[in-house]
This record gives sequence, structure tokens and C-alpha cells, in this order.
Amino acid sequence: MSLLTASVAFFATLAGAVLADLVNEEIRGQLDRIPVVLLSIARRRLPEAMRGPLHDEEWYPELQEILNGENARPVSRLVIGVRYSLGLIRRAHLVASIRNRKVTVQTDHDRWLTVVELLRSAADLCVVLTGVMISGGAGALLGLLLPQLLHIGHQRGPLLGTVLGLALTIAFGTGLGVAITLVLSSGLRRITRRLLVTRIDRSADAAPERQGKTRLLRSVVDFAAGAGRDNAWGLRVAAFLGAYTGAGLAILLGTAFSIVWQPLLIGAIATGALVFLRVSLVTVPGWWLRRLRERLETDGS
Amino acid sequence: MARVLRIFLDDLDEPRYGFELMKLARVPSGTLYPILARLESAGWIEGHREPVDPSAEGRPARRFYVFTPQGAISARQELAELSARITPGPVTRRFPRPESGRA
Repeated sequence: MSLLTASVAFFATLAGAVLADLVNEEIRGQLDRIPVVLLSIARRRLPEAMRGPLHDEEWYPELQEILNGENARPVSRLVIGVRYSLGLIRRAHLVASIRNRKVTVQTDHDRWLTVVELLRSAADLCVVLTGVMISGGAGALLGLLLPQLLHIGHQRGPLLGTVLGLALTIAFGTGLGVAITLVLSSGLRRITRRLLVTRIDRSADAAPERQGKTRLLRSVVDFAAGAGRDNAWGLRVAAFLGAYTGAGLAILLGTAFSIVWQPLLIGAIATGALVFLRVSLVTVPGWWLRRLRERLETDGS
Repeated sequence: MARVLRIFLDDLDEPRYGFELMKLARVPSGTLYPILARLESAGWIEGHREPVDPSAEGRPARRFYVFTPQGAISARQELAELSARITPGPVTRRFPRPESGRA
């Protein structure tokens, strides 16, 4: 009995020792992975082009030396390895930017140039829509108010009223359209031409292949707001259409201003939102792009 | 920076590794690697891959740094200037001590 007990105790001790050794090995292996995982976080913080030279060829081999070198001890190597990796997580971007500062800034610059290029179309559209809405809105407002102020459109018979109303609508609409085109649209055309992102066009000379993609949109913008050829047909057409609509509503249908003030107010709010959107889309990215360009020029000199 | 330079200058021909420099200069990795990057960008040191076969050694090849000839000259000059700047000069009295006279 005692022999059996001793045998069982011996084998149990042996099995326990082997198991403890295996668990120990497993824990050690898992613990060694912590610095490696932390270093992979530092790797992710590096620009794509710098991951090979910095992480794969320098930091990772050094970490292997820390973990598996001659003087590596179970606890100290873990502590040193973790400290090594944490320090590099904190400073990965700095090291990359010092090592290849120009490439890093150039990468940022190119990325922002792409963003600005993408936003440019939307920003130009905002400017054109703002110009069109102001032209059309002014035409509609004046077309609506002027006949009412002059008391036109109330004293007429059924047939004569329709014919006369039509004639008066055309006359008022044309007159107002011409006046708005001459007075308002000219000013608007100058403003929109200035606001259209022509300055970024010049800055994007370095990437001429990008300019071809938006050629159609540029043509539409040119046609509507006169950025290049100074046609601005869009603003003129909007002014005339607005004036005809306003005059038609007032003279033919006898619509009072109090009925249409809500759509006009919504239009005014939408115009304000478009102006804000344009500023957000162009000013902020443009400012950042200029800052990156200055850094590039400073580095170059 | 000065401690790292001093270690390089101790033996100009000795290749220095990142972890070794961390231990000798007592600087953490987050401080050492920006310094090495600056020195390399300035052309004072140059990095090389360790000439070992990773499969034979059972570990990846490390990167070591050595001073360039111009870097060694510049580093010595800079360290000398730094040393001169931080060494306290002779103490000068602002006010002359009054002569001891007879009352």
C-alpha cells in the first residue's frame, strides 16, 4: 500500500513539475509578446514608407536583442522591452519626420492637395448656387413687390386682364431682369469670380493630371458664374427667371408678398448655409495647405 | 545628446547599436532614436546593417551606427563649446572689499 502511495505521489509530483514547466513556458511566451505587440503599435504610427527602414530593420531587431540577448532575464527583459516599445510609440512620428522630414511633409501636402481638389468642386458649386439664388431671389422679390407698390394688376377685366397681365409680366420681368443683370449680377459676377477657387488652380500646377478630371464641371461653373470666360449666363438667366416669376405671381395671380415670404426666407437661409459651407470647404483646407507649403519651402531652403 | 556623442567619441571605430547606446547613455528609446535620427540627418553618423546572416544567427540583423570623419570633428567642436559654456568662470567680486583702516 505504501509502495503504491509512494508511486502515485512520485508520478503526481513528476506530472505536476512537467505541467508547471509547460505553464511557465506558456506564460513566458505570452509575456514576451507584450513588447512586440506594443512595438507594432509604434509601427502603425509610422508613415507607410518608413515602416520598413525604422521598424522592420532597426527597432524590431533591437527588441529581439532585448528579449533574447545574452543578458536577458525573465522579468527585466519584459520591463525593458515594454519601456523600449512605449518610448517608441510616443516618439515614432517624431523619428519618422526627422529621418525623412521632407517626404513626410510632402506626403501630408499631397494628401491635403487631393482633399482640396475634391472639395474644390463642391465649393465652386456652392458659389455658383449662391450667385444664382441671390440673382433669382432678387428678381422674384422685386418682381413681386414692384407691381404691388405701383398698384398694377388689380383693375382689369377678365380677357383684357389676362392679355394685359401677360404683357405687363413680360414688360416688368424684362425690365427688372435687365436692371438686375446690369446692377446686381455684374457685382455678383465679380464676387463669384473672385470666390471661385482659382488660386488653388494655380497651386495645383504640380498635379496637372488632376485638373483634367474636373474639366466638365469647370465648364459648367464658367458658364454659370463666369469664372474664366466671363459669360455668367447662369446669373443672368436666374435674374430674368426670378423677375418673370415674381412679376407673374404678382400681376397674373395677384399673389401677395405675405404669402411667399416663407419660401423666400428659406431661400435666404439656404444661401447663408451655402456661403458658410463654401468658407468651410475652402478656407480651412486652403489655410492648412499653405502652411504645409511654407514648411516645404523652409525645408528646401 | 552630449552623452550620446561622448559614447561615440570614446571609440570612433566601434559600431554602436541602439540598445547598447540606451544602456551606456542611460537614455530611453523615445529620447535616443530622435537623437540618432538628427545626427544621421546632419551627416554626423551613418547607419549600416549588421553583416550577419539572420537564418544562421537565428535573429534579424541589427542596425549599427558609426561616426563619419566630418561628424567626429564637428562633434568634438560642439562638445568643447558646450563644455566652455557650462564651465563656471573665475569668480569676480562686484564690490571691492573695504580696506581695513585705523579708526
